[in-house]
Amino acid sequence: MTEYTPIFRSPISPPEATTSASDLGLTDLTGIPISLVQGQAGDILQQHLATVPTTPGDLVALDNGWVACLTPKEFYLCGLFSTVKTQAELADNLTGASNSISVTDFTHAKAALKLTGLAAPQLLSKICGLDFHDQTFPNMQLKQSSAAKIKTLIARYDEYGAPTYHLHVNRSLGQYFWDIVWDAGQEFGIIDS
Amino acid sequence: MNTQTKSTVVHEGGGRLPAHASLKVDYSQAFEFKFNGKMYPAYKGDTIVTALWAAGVKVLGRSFKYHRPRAAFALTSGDSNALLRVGDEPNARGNVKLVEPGMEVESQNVWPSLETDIMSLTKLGSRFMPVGFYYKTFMRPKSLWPVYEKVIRNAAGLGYVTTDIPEAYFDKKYEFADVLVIGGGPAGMSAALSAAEAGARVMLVDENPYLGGHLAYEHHSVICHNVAGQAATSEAAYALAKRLAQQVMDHPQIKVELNTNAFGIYEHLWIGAAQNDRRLLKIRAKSLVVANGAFELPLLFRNSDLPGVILGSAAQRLMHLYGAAPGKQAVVLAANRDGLQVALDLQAAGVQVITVVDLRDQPDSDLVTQLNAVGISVRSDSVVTKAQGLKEVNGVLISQVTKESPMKTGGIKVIPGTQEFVQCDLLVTSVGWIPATGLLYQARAQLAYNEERAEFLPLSLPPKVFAAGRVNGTHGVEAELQEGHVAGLNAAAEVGYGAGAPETLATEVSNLKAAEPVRTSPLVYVPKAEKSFISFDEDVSIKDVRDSVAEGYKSMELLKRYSTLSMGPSQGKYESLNSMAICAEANGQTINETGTTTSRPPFTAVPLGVLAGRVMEPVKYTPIHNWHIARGATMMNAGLWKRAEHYGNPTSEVLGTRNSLGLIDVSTLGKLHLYGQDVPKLLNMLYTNKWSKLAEGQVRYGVMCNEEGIIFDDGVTANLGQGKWYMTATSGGVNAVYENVEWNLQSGWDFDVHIVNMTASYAAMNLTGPNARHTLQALTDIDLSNDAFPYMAVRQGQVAGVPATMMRIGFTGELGYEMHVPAGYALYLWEMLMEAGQPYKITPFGVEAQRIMRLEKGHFIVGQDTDGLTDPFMAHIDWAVKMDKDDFMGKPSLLRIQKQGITHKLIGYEMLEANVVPEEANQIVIPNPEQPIGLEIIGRVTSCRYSPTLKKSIGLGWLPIDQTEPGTEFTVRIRGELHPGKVSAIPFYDPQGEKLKS
Repeated sequence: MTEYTPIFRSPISPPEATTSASDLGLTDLTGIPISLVQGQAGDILQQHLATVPTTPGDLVALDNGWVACLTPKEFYLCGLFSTVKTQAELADNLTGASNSISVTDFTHAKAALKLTGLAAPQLLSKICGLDFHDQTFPNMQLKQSSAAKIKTLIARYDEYGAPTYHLHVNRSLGQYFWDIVWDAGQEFGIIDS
Repeated sequence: MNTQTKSTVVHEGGGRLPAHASLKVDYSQAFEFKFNGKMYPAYKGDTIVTALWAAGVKVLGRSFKYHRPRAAFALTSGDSNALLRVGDEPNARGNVKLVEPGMEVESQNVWPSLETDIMSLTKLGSRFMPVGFYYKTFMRPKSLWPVYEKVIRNAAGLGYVTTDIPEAYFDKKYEFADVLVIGGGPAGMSAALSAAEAGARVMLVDENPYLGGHLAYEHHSVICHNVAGQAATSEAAYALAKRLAQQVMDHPQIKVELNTNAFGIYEHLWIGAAQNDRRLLKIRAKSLVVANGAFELPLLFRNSDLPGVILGSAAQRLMHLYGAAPGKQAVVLAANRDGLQVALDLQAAGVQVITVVDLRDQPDSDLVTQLNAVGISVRSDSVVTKAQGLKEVNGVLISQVTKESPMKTGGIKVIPGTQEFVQCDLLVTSVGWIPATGLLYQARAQLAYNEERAEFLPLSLPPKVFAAGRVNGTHGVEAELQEGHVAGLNAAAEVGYGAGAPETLATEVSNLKAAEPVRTSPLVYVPKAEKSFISFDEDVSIKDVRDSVAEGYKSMELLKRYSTLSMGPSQGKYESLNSMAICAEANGQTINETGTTTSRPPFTAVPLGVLAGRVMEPVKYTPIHNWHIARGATMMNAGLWKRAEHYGNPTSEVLGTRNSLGLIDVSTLGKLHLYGQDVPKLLNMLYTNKWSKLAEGQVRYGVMCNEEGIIFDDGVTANLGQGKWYMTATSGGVNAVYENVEWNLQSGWDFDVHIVNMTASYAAMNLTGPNARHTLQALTDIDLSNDAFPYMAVRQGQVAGVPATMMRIGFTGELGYEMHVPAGYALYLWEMLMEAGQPYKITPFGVEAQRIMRLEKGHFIVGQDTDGLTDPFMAHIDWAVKMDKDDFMGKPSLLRIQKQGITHKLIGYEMLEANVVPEEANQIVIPNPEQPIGLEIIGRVTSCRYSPTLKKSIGLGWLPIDQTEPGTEFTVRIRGELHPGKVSAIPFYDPQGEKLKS
């Protein structure tokens, strides 16, 4: 049988690259491994990951990504971790431990954007009704809300001291969402980073 | 672009004053703009009106009804005399809209020109146009209404809308604050600083492009003894404004939004604000300080609307913010110390103040002394009774008066023989203030007219709402600052920051307010002023109000609607108090007994585009979208999705697929993962057919009904093994299916099932046609033989290295493989399939070809061929309903329907004329002479296409149950013509399914 090398493609076609410096950058991270774990998985996850959040909305950083608690029975894993090399390995470990746990690969389900910069909260206030102030949406928190009229998972995971938000939407809406964020960011000099 | 930048000061016609620290214009940046076809100079920071005023142009347009010449009189956003057309924008507020280089500005409501306006002749017929005349005239003769209508439509309205212009950009923003302060004057800034110091997160909004409120345009010294615990200070008002503004801007806890009109207060302190007339701010505040000031009160006398009559605060704005000289020779009409101060300001600016006319018997002696010292006389117990001039003021009539005590609405009499004409080109009036209580009213504050102070003031405020400054009847700067301080502390305390203001501070504010002189005269009009206009918006006079009351419109709410008072662009900001006073007088009541109108949002004018906000219409793209576009596909909307309708020729797409090989992108299909041991139980409840025995590797079609037994979705579900199932639903129905399952799982169905909506995660494509197997086999190790992978089976494996779930199903009626693959690899696989299919001349096909082929197979589409009344029996799929199951959604209703029987049925048909293709929703009719056109509707067409395979016109439709036997003829009404058709057995194509199962 012929060997194939499938090509992964993002749903997003960013604009022409810009080189100017900016306080606000938007990055297409689509393709980053994402898993949804459902069921009473907290304890079992704890065995495989260094630490696991237990309160809905909390997010914990791991070596190459983060894990968030959506509900007491739902966990959202973004990235890969040194203790779990592949999503399939994680799925096998978890589902093997309990029949009531399911693991869904969401890598292809989501368009994943990263918005970084001091103006990021301002930009998000133009498309989402959440309060992005540090007091109400601090670092290492996750919220699910409507942004630009679509369901959006917003995880705050600051980088280098700058407010940073991971914005995950349904993949089919990825280009639409990118366009909206890009347009809203024009007044802040947004760049494709 | 007529732009020029100059580094030196330009004084056009002497209308500009020397540079000063209080100015908001930049004399180093000069340019030109166009007004009514002529070029005028301006400076950066000028509004349209201030640039024109400085250039000697006062008259801007004509009034609404009588086309009287009108000029700015208040220089605020609520001054309706300065509505102008700017470029394509009608009714721009010239008083506050900053002028830009090359801007094109035109007068409104003038024809043929501002100088010569023919409609101004309407004043000659004013006696025939009394208040409410349009309710009483134009009734007869009825036949003339079209003529009346044309004339009325031409005469009515203000400005015109151009529709063939590019859409302007608007957007919105959500904001949050512990304490929101509306108004950036002394009270607002003080409140913001105090709340922020207490630890609250504060937002301050102000409609102006600068902070300071009235302090910004005042030059006199302000002495504060002990405001907010600070040492005593004495400084010019504008300097104090700048100092406070700097503190506010620098405070890390305060966010300032300028050029921002708070226009509405809604439930739970949700505040709407328009920023730069382009952005809607939706502000959620935990507590609110309203400190939006007051409007200066106009006095009504003959010709009080004449250009050149302006309010004292307008004169100060012109001089101290924009460097524009208000006039050359002025008379000042005062009834408070503000008016005397304006006279001093005018004199300091080089305007010759001929005299000051003061209504009071004892004007403020300190200011009178200063005025006298610079040679200005002050006449007490006097008033202006008329402004003279045709288009602009050229003089005023002044008289001495006697007054009623206490003073009332029209309570003065002219002393005979005292009338005197004084020549001037400017009359400045300063007789009182109207607190801007509209927003407080919207917040449910209780307001009442304070007879002593002649102002409407808050009696009580709702929880978490505070008022400070002039809106609260506080006029002295020290009192304003201290009241703002108290309000800010209390507003912060309401939301958990600090302990609030000590009682001693509140007492101190009360004492300061009590010591203040009264600023507002109860006098509204002078003798012989009955024809003067209360409303500059709609040309409503004192006489009009009296006539309305005489006709029975005694309530302000009724009077408003009958006379149009306060219904114009300014929404009554400068007319409400005067109209209430005159209405009360006509009723023989007090103002409080007469009552007010209702303040509703928007408090200030808001462009509709701001309310509409940004257009955000979500669009879903399949992973193959860009390929479709590159291939020249005609795209169509399918809900939020964009789908390829066809690639140029749907007929050849059908034939290419039927004869060899086709490929369609069906990624929009709903896709759901189901996990858990109870999935079969769930499926048994969801679908009308049975699922307990569906083996691993098998696929089954099912129909879902709601509790009324109505079809709401259909699709297939595959058993993937190990407790994992894969369900498809319609593109438009998947969210409802998902929510239905989740709702039931969480509220009664105690099943061990997890459901995940995977619609976006997977792309789907259907490779179909006689050569599908050969093509696909070259890309996969899965045995595709009919024995190993039969019809209605599912297999998982790799296709061209891409993990795929493949189902042998198909809408087209041909051998087909529906492949569901991770979306990120979809385009790769699509391209691989297209390449592999080249030997068979693979045809990509779109939705249109798919619809033709599904019709040839007689498949219905939920939502197109069914509606909100269609049950499975009517839809001809009785075979999919297993009434012997214990339970399923809709079973009780279907039992009832089964017992009662059905009246109509979905049938297949063909037209007897092969080339006649009905349109969807065409009626199926029978002759009936008793019906209006001799036809009775007995059914309708739901789908119809010309079949290139069968070479005839076929479709689906609804007919009465007794006319559904194949061969039964009927008549379709197509665009008024009758065409014959007959019921056909379905499927039309390959009725035994041999191709499908081959």
